[in-house]
Amino acid sequence: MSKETKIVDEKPEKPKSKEIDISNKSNQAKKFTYLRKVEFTAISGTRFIIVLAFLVIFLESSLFDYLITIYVSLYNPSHLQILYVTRLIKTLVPLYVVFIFVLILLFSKFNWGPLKSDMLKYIVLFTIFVLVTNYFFTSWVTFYNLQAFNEVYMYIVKAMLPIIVSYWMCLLFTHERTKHLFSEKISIITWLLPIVSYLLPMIDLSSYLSISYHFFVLLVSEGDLTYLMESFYFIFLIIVIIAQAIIIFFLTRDEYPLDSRLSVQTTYAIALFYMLLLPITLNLNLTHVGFNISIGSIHYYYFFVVGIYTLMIVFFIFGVKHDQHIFLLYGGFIVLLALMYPFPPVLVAATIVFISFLAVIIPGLLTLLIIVGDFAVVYYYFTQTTFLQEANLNTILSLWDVSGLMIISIIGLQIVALEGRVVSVEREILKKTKFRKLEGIAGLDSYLFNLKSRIPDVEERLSGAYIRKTATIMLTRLLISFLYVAGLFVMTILFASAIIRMYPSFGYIEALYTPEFTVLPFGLFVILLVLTLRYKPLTEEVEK
Amino acid sequence: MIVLRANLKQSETRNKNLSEFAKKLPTTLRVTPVGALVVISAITFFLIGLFSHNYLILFLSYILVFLFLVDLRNILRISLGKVEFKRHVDKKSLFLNGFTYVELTVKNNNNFSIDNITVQDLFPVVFEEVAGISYNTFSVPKQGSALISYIIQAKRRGIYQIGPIRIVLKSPFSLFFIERMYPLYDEIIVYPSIERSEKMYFMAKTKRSAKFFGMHRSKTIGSGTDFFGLREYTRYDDYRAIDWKASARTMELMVREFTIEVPLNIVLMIDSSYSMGYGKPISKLDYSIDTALMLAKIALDQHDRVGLLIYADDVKSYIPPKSDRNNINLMLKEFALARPEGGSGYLEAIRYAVENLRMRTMFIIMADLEGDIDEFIEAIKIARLRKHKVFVMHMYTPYFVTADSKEKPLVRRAAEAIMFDRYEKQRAYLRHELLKRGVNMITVTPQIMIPLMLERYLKTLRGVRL
Repeated sequence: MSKETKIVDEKPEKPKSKEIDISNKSNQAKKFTYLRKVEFTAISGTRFIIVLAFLVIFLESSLFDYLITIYVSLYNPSHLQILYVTRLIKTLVPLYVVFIFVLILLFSKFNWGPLKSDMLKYIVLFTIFVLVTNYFFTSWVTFYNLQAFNEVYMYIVKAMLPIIVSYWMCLLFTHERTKHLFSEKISIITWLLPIVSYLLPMIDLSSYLSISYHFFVLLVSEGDLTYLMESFYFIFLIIVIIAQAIIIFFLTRDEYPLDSRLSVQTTYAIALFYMLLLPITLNLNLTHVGFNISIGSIHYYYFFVVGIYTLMIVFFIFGVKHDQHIFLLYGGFIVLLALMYPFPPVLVAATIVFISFLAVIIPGLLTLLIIVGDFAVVYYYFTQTTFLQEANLNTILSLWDVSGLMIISIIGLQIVALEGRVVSVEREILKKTKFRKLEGIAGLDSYLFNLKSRIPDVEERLSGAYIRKTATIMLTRLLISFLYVAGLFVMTILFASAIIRMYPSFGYIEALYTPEFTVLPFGLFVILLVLTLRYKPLTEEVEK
Repeated sequence: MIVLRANLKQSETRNKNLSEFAKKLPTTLRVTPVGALVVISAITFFLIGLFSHNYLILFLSYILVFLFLVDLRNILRISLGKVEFKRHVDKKSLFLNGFTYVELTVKNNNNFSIDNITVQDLFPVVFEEVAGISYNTFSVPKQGSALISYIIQAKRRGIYQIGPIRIVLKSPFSLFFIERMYPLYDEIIVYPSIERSEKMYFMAKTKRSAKFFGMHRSKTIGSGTDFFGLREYTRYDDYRAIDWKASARTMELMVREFTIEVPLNIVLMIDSSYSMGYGKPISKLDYSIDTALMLAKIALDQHDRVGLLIYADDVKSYIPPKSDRNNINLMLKEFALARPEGGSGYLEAIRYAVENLRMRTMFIIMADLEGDIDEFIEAIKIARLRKHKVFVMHMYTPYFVTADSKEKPLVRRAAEAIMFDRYEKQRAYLRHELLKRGVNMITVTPQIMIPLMLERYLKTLRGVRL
């Protein structure tokens, strides 16, 4: 008999029945299910995103500008020097962080958490691409002393935002601890991710398209080459946005169990939405650089849009099968229009939509919110303020810096805190209640067996099942706490807005009109509301 | 007479006044790093907002202050006095390497739930947590309870306390925390491992069964059945014992002598002076306890009477020799309580034993003899004067030094050599003095201690005449 055959022969046969022979001591340990190791995945990848995001946010914030002001007052540099210093810092520092991160990525075992494979790598590569291109672009723009370069930095923040938001959402909804909060049937991830991923970059897309068109018109009419550069610049931004959208689409499709049908439909809906919006933005008064728009000039297009959407809703109501997400997308738009233009047909349509929302209230509200946010961005940029005039540009930028970034920071902090708590719950509860390897401890299995005869649920007690129950309660309360804070925040903004409307002399707090300030807190509020309402806490009391 | 070492009731009385203790404990509210950051940020934002006339930054500072106040209010309303803790220990006395299951119940009598409480049941490092968890963060519903449970394994013999309980209560936004200790104690006695002695005993029984056979009692000359010898008649001898044949042969009155098997009296004397605590991971004291436990078990199986005397400066505990099997349980308790402390009062220990013993006894002394040698010799003298048999197991300190592979400096090596020389001289002197008084002394190492002891014990049994 050969050696190999001998080895095979020596292998013990597998027991036929599932019952474990308790008389065998080594099997006694197997009898206890808690021997399974509870896997804990560190969320190290998120740390990098947080650092990068907050770095960019800081560099874009007024605090950084304040530091630059101090630098200017101390050393009195030339205008060009200031530009070079600020832009170099703003570009090179994030680049440096990314570089370090890539080094870590290449030379160490990095725990990506739930995003195991390619997504973060793509994000990193994309960020590098944007930053490097931006760096050269900035140098070029600075050299020619063009006025539009500030857009680049707004864009960086806006480009990072959807990635960060998408990442956070993915994390939140796929995280071991929180994914059970969402029913499998209507998983938020199936529709939230594409919307978040596509909508936010697309906000810029339409405006950039119109601006580049505007510059192109100026170039033809006036023959100034500066307009060509401006036009190219915005075309570059458009290309970047589209590239970003494509990357995000593939990333989300590959990484997550997305329903591809839903993704395609949502993409289609968003594209349609922008296509309809485009004529409105293109129908601007292009005779002046500042885009002074009168609201009356776009009435026609809104009625056009309202007509189409009303028709779709009618189809929906009468049984034409439409995807609920598309319905919500369009329905949200109707409601928005109804709020802005309270004409009877729009109001009726909006009422119908609102009632329909009740059926799918939570996703509906969130979708509506995003749509409202999107529309508000476009609406305010193109109607309430003059755009691209130097003074107004500074106003917009400062408003963005002060309000938008602050709000994003607060939301980021809150999500980080929430994530931190989730992680701490993971660490404190799940990791610590796991059992150590008991194989090496002689006599413990028999003691446990003995113990089980006296305390039948000893396994559950030791595995921390009761503690885990309380952990879910703790998370609920945490969510409610956040909801409470977000609600307060929202109420404060509403109060401030009301005050300003009542006393126009406070009108200089214009940041309260910016969509980032007004919409995002509502977004946070609603997201938390969704989380809280969807949460199924185990309220049963823990009894000994 | 049993001298008890420690007052085991101490913790029970302490637990009775638990609620009073809990109420008296100071409740210090402290700010977490996040809380400090919030405060600093609020102040910074306030100043920046004020000087730059930026109302948004001012507004942000108000939000932070508001958050701070809300969190402060949330933590201040929780009364830790209304949180009760109960601990259930499955086994309060266990053998070395044994397990016990501990369950800690936290009851919240507040009218609102406590969301973020960290409870840590503290226990000495001699216990190893092998299953479950003694430290956790959880939420306790109002008027409800939560429990944490774990299994610990005892790694050293002795008496230990489980407790107190460390509580860290955090505010909902983790800006504040309260930390305090809850004085709930439970005592656990860890007896030396009986497994080892059982194993040794089993080996002795199987491998040396021939040696044990027929020698399980000590012999005393008297009215027995076994012939011992002949001697000349004295006026107090019973005339019935006269061997007439032998008398005729020798032309002198000769008396026959017989032997009787009587149980042997053994007192195990363990030195628990401070120097006996030397040795890692198992100290000399632990070795001697293991050996004593094994000997006691064997002796009791042989129906000998076994007693125990643990001494340091004075007698720590004494269990008179009995053949009662319950004696081993008493011994286990004393072994558990034995701690290396104080000096070596040989004289007092021997005097105490001699005064309390009526019968002739064999003293098995287990000591490292690091104390006063002359006092030890004096003590041996007293024992021998009273016709007691003494056997000394010398736990020679140099043998218990763990080998260190590191290259030592010359000065240290020289010092060690001098010390070793001193030890050797002392040992030679002791051996000489003890042999003069008919006392056997063996020097043991950790490895051979128990087998050697067993061997000698058997030899001693064979040769003993009382």
